[in-house]
Amino acid sequence: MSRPEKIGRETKPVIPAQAGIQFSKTFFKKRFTGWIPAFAGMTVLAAFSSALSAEPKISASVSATELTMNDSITLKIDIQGVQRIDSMPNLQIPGFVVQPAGQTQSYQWVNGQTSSLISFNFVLTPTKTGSIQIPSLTLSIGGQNYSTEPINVNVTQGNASSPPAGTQAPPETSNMNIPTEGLKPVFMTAEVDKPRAYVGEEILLSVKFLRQPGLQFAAQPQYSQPEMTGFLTEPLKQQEYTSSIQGVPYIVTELRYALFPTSEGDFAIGSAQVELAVHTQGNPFDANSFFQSFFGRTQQLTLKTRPIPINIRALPKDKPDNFSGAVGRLKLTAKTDTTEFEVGKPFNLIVTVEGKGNVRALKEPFLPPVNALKRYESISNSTVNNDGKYIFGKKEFKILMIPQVSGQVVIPAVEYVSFNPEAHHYITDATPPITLSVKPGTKTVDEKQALTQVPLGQSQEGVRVLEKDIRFLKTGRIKPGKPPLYWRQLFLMANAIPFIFALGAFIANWQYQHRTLFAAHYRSRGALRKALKKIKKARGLMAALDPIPFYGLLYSSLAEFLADKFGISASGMLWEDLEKRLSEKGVDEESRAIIRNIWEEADMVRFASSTFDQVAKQNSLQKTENVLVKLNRVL
Amino acid sequence: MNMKQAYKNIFIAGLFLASFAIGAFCASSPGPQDVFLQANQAYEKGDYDTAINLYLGLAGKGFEGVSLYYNIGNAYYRRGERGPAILWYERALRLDPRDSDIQFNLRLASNHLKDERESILNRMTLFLSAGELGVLFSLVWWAFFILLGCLVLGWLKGELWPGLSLWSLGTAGVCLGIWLGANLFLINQPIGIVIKAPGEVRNGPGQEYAVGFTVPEGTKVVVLNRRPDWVEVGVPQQGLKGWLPSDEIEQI
Repeated sequence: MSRPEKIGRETKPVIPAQAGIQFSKTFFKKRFTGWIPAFAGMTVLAAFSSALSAEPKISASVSATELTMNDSITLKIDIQGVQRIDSMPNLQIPGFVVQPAGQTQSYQWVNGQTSSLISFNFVLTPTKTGSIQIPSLTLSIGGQNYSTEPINVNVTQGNASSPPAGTQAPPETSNMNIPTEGLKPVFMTAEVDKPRAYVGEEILLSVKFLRQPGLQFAAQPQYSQPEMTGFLTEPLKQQEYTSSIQGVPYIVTELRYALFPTSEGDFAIGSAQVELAVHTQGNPFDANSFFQSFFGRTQQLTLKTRPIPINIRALPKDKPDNFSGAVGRLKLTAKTDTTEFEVGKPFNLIVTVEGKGNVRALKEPFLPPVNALKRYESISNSTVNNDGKYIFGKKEFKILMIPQVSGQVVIPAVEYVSFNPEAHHYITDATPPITLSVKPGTKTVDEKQALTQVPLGQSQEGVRVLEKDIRFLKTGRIKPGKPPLYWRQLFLMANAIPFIFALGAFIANWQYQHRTLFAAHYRSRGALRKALKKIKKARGLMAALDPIPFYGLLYSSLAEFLADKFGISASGMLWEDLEKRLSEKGVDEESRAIIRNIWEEADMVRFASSTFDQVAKQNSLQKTENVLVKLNRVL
Repeated sequence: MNMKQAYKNIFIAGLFLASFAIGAFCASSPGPQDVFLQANQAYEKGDYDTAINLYLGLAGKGFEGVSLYYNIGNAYYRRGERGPAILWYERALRLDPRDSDIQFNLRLASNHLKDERESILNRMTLFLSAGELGVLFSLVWWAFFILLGCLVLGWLKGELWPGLSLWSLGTAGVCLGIWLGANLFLINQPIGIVIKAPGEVRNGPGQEYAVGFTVPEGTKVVVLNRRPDWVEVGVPQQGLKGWLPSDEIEQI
């Protein structure tokens, strides 16, 4: 249901929108009756003379023009410039059930000018849906006809489960705090939706001012809102509706506040207060009734609500790092205000936090730095609304950014941490990263600045580090882990080779040196082996027809053996000399004879062409071999 | 067909099936290089948890390599865990001490730490890896002994250069040997990295002991002693030592 006028922080009742309506002549008549005390009478008479001289004005208003079948609206009829109405007008409006809801009368005296205002209230309950017109009525006052404009009201079926947002539905009257001393014609209450809350969590405070329809105010009631120290306060929509309490009809004016605790601890919401003056009932047909009610039958009242204790809990300690105190059910979105990005061309990143909670107090979400973008201070803008119970809305943060490089630039995820008091835990909401395709600009911002400073023909360009990040992955091959190379057996064995080689070289060299130094010894030691080799060779030649090679080998084996043993040259060796040496060495006669015999046989074959049969050859061979072995032992 | 022939046929068929099954299994199960590539892909998609699991799986199976260790360090860094990132960069640096990427990332990962640079001598000693020094030493060793052998055998002609070469190689070999020894000494030092914050070093091996000092995540400390759940560590630069829970430190 829409309201004709927005309710702000005003504590005084609001005058509804005006719409004219006219009544029949019999509804009222002007009266100037009663005895007037001297001083006051003169004054009031002057005032009423002034009021009488004014043109009567009749107007009407409805509290809402949009309502559902579950709703009711108040029709208020204001009549200015008349002092008395005998009885409430009897209205018949097709499409509505009309119930009278009381009459009020007030006077104003400003700068010597007096005006009177009589108001009639009616509660209209629709009986059908659609556009219903409250018809124009014509009223004759002092022979003059006054007409009101018709009022169109739109009635919809509505949702039975959702409470009306307008003024007429009586919300939660069953839970209304009724004064302990019993029902009174006028009283007020205050209540909260929860006695315990977290810091920053919304608490709904409802202050109700209830009056019976017939009650007349002598003056505008003065409302003082309760003391709400320790809370941020956000007034919600003011509501006015009728309600029945224990069968007694009441007009309820309800003021609601959304309270946001600022710190933990025990607090109290103070008393709300209304000061008012009411007329007590008098005889309307008594000639002194007006003055009785004006001077003698007005009762001054002060209504107060009871203070309400509230316990405020601290938020849980496991606060995430980026938590900035936001409490409520909040959602985060982020977008850019353009899709075309260019180096050096500014754009806005718009980060919006939206949801239920104290939207005005929300702080800027955390945005990780992006070196490829130059960032400036953000501008925030809040849109706050309420549904009569909860504060909701959104807060936009516009962050001005200027791309510094071309290519793909990623604005990382923006994170926002809030505490959800219903779920009792912190919730981190994050936007997806935004990838920008930045086109190369004509010049970067820095380049533009540089151009103004550097003379033409000179360049001061250099590498600019925009973002220091770790280097990318490596894609080399992986391999099974092995011991280090220097511990592997093959490596160690391979390294032994050059050492062995060098060692061998040393040994070889030593041997060589040794052999050189002790050549005679080595010659003597190897004499038999050399001689036996020749004997072996000679044995192979034994069957040959030519005996020369055979006997040549026998001779040389003996000669070289003896030469090696005596350390002399084998060539040109003389028997006499040889025999002398053999004798000196102790070689026996027999052996010497054998040597001589073989020596001669070889000479005979070589120089006299003598022939020897196989047996002789075998014999010579055997003797030579035996004597060599024997000599080797002696020499 | 007699029984012997039948058994033989069954055995051959079984062998064939088994070899087929093994072949199919090998073809279906990804090799270590494939797993490594999968981990790289996960990293590139920003799935660092999966990447780390796959990398660590490979490392746990005994695979190694500069790329593997370096990539593990990168994945940890991306996940915001500087301690393990530094640990794996250090391990990669052991394999390739002059890799500029590893050095760069290690510097970046350590930029929250107070700049306590290693001594020049240490840096020089670790300029070459032990493997490289081993190969160099081996080459000099070979050259020296081959030259020596040839010289002894008299295979080299010339009066001055063989001796000079031999002397040079010998000197180089001694230097390289000392270098390798020093390198092995340093890399076999029980150095650990604090892999978890806050690194509260206590005065004894237990929670009941007071916190003596704190070390930030990624700090290099010397492991002095080990107990089942506690490790005694030292910070030589400050002359401090104390005990850390064993799950907060890992040896390089």
